[in-house]
Amino acid sequence: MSALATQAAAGRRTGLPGAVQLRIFLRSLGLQAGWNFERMQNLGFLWAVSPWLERVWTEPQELRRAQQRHLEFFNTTPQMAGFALGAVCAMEEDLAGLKGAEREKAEQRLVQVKRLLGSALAALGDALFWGTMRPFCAALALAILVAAVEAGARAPWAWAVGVYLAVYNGLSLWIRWKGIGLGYSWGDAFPAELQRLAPQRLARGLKTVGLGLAAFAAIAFLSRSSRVALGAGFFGFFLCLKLLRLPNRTIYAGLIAGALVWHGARALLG
Amino acid sequence: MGLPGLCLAAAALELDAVTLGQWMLSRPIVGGTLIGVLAGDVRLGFWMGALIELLILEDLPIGGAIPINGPVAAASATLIAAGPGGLAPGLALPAGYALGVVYRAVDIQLRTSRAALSREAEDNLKERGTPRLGGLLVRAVCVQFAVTFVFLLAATFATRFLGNWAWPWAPESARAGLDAAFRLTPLLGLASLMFAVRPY
Repeated sequence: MSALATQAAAGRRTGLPGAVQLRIFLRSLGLQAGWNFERMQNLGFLWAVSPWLERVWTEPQELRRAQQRHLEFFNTTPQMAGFALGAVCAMEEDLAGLKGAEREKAEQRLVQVKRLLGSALAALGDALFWGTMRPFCAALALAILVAAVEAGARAPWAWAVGVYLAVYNGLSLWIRWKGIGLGYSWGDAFPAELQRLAPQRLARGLKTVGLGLAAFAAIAFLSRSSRVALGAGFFGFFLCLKLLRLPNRTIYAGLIAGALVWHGARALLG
Repeated sequence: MGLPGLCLAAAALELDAVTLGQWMLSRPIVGGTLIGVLAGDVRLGFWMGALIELLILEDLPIGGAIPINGPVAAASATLIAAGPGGLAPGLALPAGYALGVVYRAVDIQLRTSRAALSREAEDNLKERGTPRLGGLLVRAVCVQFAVTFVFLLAATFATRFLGNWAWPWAPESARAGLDAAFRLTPLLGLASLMFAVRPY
């Protein structure tokens, strides 16, 4: 029995050492390296959590059993996986302190909680990172580009790209890192704690600012055009099509087809 | 840097999209710019990258959904238009976008084939007592990199070759039409961006 398991049997967790948390964090950057349709992030998850499993389970048979557990299905937003990894670390440690039927019951609960966490974190993370941060950072980058061009900066594209990367990665890496520690401290109480994580206000705030930045970029682009009224008309038309929920690939294909037909007709009739 | 070198760089950047890191280096607006720097035309790379970024903003990798491959689209569009023998941007952008859509099908095949890695890990666990994950994941990364590189090299070379052969034969109206569509694409992109950041 490992030292961790002994402590766990006494109802105490030893805490996640910084070096182990760092290893888990770095390995979590490869969470999707083996992504597949069948079990999605299973390989990456096991790879990331392995440093902790090897500390908790010193008996080879028990370690193999734990590794087999984590070869099952798992999927979540990569930036939020830290929470699940931390929670699983805590639950594995608690599991090691149990025996017999109690352990079997706790094992099943661990698997269920892990799956539940994956879906719940994905719901939060997809909305925050894919649905909010990506378009917000794009709007910010374009606004910075406009400002840099107006200011006569030497490499305005570098400012735009630099700000994009700094803002996105600032939040993303911070959440990845902090998530591991928070997930460990909450353990299997995570699902209840999850309800307190409410990034909706942050998302709405970012989107409101993003809307302003996008409008600024659009106005700046139009103001540089030689045919402002025509440009504004097309912009409004595209916005209407977007409000009608038409996908970009359809509008883009229609744009190309329309332009070809228009110029073809002009050539024929002209 | 020649086309093979640029394709190697683009294939390395593509790994950041899903496989390793997710530091957003693979995002079209970043990756396109970086490829543009390496190709000697940063303005072209940034412009192509930004347009692809805005066009694919709504394609989200939620659950098992596989979006159009933005890094491949941006790199392709830049490589097709850059340098001597590069095609007109009005042709390069839709060609790059189309290659991003085609690569999505390749990516789906790659991900489907990786299901075998889970079974291999389980077999390793049973027979050798360890899943040997490090080796499996390195193999997955190398295969992803190699396939992306070969795809980019073949696709951009073929597109440039065919484009240079066909473009002189294209009627003036077709060239004008594609050029007009290219000049209007930023407006579509900006409308898409405003729709994406609507608070409600």
